[in-house]
Amino acid sequence: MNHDPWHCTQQFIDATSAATALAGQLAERNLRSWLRPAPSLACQEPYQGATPFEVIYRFDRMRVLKFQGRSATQPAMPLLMVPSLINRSYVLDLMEGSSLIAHLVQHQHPTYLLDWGTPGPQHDHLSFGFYVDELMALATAAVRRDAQTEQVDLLGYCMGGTMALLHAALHPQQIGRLTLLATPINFHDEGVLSRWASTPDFDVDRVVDTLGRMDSLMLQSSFLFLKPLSTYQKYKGLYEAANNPRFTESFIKLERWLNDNVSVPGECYREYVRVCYQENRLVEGGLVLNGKAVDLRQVTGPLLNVIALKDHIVPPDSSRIVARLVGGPVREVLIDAGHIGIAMGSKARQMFETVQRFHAEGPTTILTTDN
Amino acid sequence: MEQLMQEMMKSTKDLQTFWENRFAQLMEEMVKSQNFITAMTRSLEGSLDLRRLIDSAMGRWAEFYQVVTKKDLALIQQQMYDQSVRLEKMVALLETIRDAVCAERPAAPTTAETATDATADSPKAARKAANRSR
Repeated sequence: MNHDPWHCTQQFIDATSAATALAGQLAERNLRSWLRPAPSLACQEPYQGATPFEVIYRFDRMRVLKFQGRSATQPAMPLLMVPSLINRSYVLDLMEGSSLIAHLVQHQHPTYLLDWGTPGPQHDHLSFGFYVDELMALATAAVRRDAQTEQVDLLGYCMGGTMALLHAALHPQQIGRLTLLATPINFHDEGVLSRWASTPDFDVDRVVDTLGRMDSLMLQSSFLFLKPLSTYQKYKGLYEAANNPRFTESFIKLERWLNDNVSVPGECYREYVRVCYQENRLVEGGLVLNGKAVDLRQVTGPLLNVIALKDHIVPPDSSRIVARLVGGPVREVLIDAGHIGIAMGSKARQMFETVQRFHAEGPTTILTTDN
Repeated sequence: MEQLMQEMMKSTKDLQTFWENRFAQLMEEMVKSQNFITAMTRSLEGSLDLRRLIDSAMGRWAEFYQVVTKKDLALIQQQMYDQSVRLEKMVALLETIRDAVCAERPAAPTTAETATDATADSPKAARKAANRSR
């Protein structure tokens, strides 16, 4: 590292000017959006991903996006990605050419994404079980119809992984391979979220009965509190790397996604917190969703569990436990990244390749058990 | 002199990073503590109580003036959503039946046969046949 005072001063001036220019751009953009009359929420395009897509199915606000048709040379099982209910689905498609979806499309894999859309007051009565059992069933049926296959592979990220696992347990005959990315399974872990949500002081009924839903701003602020100094450290990092256009571009895109949270429908949030965080039913057993008993041993297909070692939202042990609960072979992949770093950025490249190879193996290949 | 300055800058930066990381760790431990959780839930309860107070006052006002509230509209929207779910399920079921029936059908006839059948089945052909019979 060069510590020449002249070089340091020059670097400081460069960084300051680049940061000032970036701040100016952001301020201008914010001012423009503030002055321009904002379109209504229903008209806004919730998907801000980089890869072109076509909508193959739409029900109310939910959509299934298709990224790649079946390749003639490489017949593979269609892969449906299930994002979390609290974030937008385009996290797996943030950067052009360096996202999981872009990687799969490059390899001609038939890729689909479930976009939950923006929930409104008409969705506040929908339970978590309804989302997992019925809405996901509509989406997988649409994918199977489009790809003309009997089964569909699933990939879930974070809460979407929990939902994908539960859906696979409820509809095992329709699901082939399953990939879980940074997925919480054991909710009674040492994570901060688990501590907050499982404490008897937190009355989920009172929140839902009063607000009707879990507001996105509340969720956003609680995520900021998980690492209180992270915002300062983040902007310090931006300042130091402000003259790197690639870094600033990815920073802006990631920030846009991080601040683009959606509210969770009330009943869904109530059931999710109760059965997962408070009662830990996935591990303890006795989980009933939408009137149906859920048995994770019914998941007999190959499962790929991608774990982020530096994850502060889902600690590694929380996801690792899945190997003891499901009935099929489990392959574990550990990535030295955080909760978001596992899905995008340079460290996620390993995950892109692992996931692509895992789902390209096809339905008939027997997976080596690594657990 | 230059060497000394470089060393000073490096050690200052290292010291700053060390204390930043230490402070971050301390804050992360703090948010896990029971005291913090209790304080957070209490502040949340206070906000919820206020919100409930406002909601109940608005509800009484709406009831007094016989005004439709957002909650009433949301209930209607929820009922409509439930109906649309039922319809969507029926559509999915009908599509499954249609696919099954299509799969059970015998192989499609040749192009010439299809053309003849199509002519025969067309309304024009049917009208001609009816005229002939008259």
